[in-house]
Amino acid sequence: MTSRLATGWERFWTRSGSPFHLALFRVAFAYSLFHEAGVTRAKSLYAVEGGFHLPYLSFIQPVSQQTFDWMYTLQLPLVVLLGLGLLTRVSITALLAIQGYIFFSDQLNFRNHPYFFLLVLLLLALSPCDEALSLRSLLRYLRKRVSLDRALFGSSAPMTMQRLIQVQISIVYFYSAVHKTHPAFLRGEVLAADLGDAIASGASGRLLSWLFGADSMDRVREIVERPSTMIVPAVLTVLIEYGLSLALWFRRTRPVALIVGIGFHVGIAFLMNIGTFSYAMLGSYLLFLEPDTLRARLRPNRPG
Amino acid sequence: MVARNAFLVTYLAIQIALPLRGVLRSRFDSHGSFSWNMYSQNYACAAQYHAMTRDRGPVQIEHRYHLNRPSRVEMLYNRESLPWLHRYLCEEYGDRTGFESLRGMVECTWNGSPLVPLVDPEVDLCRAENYGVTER
Repeated sequence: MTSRLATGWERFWTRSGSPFHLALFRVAFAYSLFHEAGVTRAKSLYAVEGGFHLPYLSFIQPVSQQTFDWMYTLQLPLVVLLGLGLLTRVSITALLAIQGYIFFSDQLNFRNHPYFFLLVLLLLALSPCDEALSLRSLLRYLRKRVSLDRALFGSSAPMTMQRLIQVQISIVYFYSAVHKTHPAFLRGEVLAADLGDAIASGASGRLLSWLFGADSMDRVREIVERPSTMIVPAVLTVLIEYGLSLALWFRRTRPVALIVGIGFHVGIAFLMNIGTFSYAMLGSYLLFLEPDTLRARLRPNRPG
Repeated sequence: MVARNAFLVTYLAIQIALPLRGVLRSRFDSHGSFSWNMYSQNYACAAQYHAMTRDRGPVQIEHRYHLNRPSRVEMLYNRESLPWLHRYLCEEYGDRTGFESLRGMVECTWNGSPLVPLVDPEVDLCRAENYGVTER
């Protein structure tokens, strides 16, 4: 039994494949980071000195407003380097240091989005995410050290860190569903409380007003803020999140999981104004595709 | 291989255990950070703080404006974080002329529960045990 578990463990973590999907995820993730930077800048003001602070560790001190602004400005070129796949380890390490310092400088800076991005950055730092579709690999091709095929798609290698990012995604879905599995959420009370304000202040509200007039938004809000209206969406949300934590892993369920997941996150982005986290999660779906799927489609006459 | 497996086991252990801590603890006791708790709970609190002064009687303290982002004050309304807020308010106001004591009231409801008092309104928060935050 132990040796079967050990064999299964090894096979799971050392499965080989092209890092192409990981490279695509790197680009998508960099795009999400770029857009998240401004939001986190506005919402992480506890890293700035003055007022009440609740540090995790006493030696991480808040900084001046000027230093805080510089830390955010400095992130942008680092995120661009990450997206382009140039000096990737350096840029990720610097991003981890800056974002980690800001995040851990005060417990009141905690938000799930920056926490998720920190974890993914850590795993990307340990991964071959710049071995394909990157300026680094392109430079190696131009110096005639690798073929064009290898520069674009990388070479087959253990996908350990990619798998770990996938497991992390499943953990996020699972625990998010666990937190929602209680009577008040399943009765629609939580969604009813959250959705009304989100619709009023977001893209969905603006669309409704434009299509049907300003009064329509008030009527929609009235309906949405009734818990009984939100029972079905609430139950579906919980079922979807539990389902996605598993269904993305298996070939037979993956197509449905992808369709449902895309709809789910686009819906959240539109209705609840949660854009960048939704897009980062969607970008991670690339990692769940069978290795070399996209490579085979892009270069059908070459072996995967 | 040993280093890789050690990293994997450590990472997975942390990422499974840390959120579990947030799931198992009451929202009245902690904010539940690091547990992927996203838009899943209704938690609302009413909070008031007063500095009792010699000359002017009770003076209301706008405690949320001591935060760089006042809108996040609700993250503090739990038994783990409130003592730190009270300690800060005591240090901030304790030296002011005429200050005698700090009183506060924080009551919270979680997913429609009856209001639960997290702070004893009858005590001086600066001198009380645990800065006046109630036990579970």
